[in-house]
Amino acid sequence: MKALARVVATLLIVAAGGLGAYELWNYYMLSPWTRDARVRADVVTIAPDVAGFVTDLRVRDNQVVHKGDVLFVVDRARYELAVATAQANVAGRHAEMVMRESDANRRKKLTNLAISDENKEDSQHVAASALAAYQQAVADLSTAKLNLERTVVRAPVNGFVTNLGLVVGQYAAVGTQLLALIDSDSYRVEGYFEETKMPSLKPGVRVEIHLMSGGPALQGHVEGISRGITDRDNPNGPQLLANVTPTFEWVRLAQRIPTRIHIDNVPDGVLVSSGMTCTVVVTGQSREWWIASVVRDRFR
Amino acid sequence: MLREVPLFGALAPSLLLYFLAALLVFVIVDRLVTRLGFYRLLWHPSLARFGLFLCLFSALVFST
Repeated sequence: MKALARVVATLLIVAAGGLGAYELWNYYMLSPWTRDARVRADVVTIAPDVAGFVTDLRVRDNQVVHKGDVLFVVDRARYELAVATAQANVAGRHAEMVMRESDANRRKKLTNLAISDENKEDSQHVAASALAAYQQAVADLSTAKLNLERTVVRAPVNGFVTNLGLVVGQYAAVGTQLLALIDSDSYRVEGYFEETKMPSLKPGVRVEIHLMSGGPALQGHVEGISRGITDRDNPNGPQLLANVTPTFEWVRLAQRIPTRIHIDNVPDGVLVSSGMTCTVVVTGQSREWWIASVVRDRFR
Repeated sequence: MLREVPLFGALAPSLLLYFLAALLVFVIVDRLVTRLGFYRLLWHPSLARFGLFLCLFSALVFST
């Protein structure tokens, strides 16, 4: 009897230890969390639509800007002159058109004794041509006004100016990127989860985000899971033929699937900056649920 | 249940540190228990010691 008690007591201790080790394994190896996650945000690179010297810089580095705020102004003089030229052109074309129209109207009333049919028709066509030329001048004026308007560069989104290197006097060519604006409405987390942890990730599942900088956790939820990553063992070779790498790995590493996580709320005083490292822990499902789902999938 | 611990500014997985801490606790508990003669009451003392360590290790991880 005493011998049996000795055996049972020993086995109980070992069983408790085994259970703890099993839970540890589940916790570290199977539970859906990743240390490999980054804060991301959309960056709008601002490029002017018209060329010229930057005459007025209205923002400082790291400044908060709202949609529609003026960022900088390109030298307006040239574009004001262009508008004046276009206006003069419109006036000239208008005068020309009026003259040609009155000519045509007068000739239409004359009999064939005074003017030939050909001359009559010609005067009609010349008047039509003058009208077209006037319309073109009006369109050119609109373009000149648009260019003048575009010398004032405005923020297309709410956000933050970052890494500002632009200075007054710099020449801005059309389409060259001068300034980066981080869209403050687009902050999100990209979690790179191992593919073994996919079963417990579904859109809508709640997660906690722990920034590397510490502080309270951010709340979020899974917004979407990437439906494709590159197959690194099969790049296209020349002539579009498959080029399968002839390796067999004894140890297979789980690949990472990017998972987009929406940040639901940021506690006061927590700074979120694009590029930050963070840890994402799925909290939405109970531990029993994911252990059950993993076990179910293993033995199916 | 800390997932990672800061080590000189870098975050490292916490399991190794937990292991070392559990080892330290185990050495103390083991000596105490040996002195009290607890192991003499058991069937396979070395197996029980192994189980005891696993218990301490997992309890430490799940309690913090």
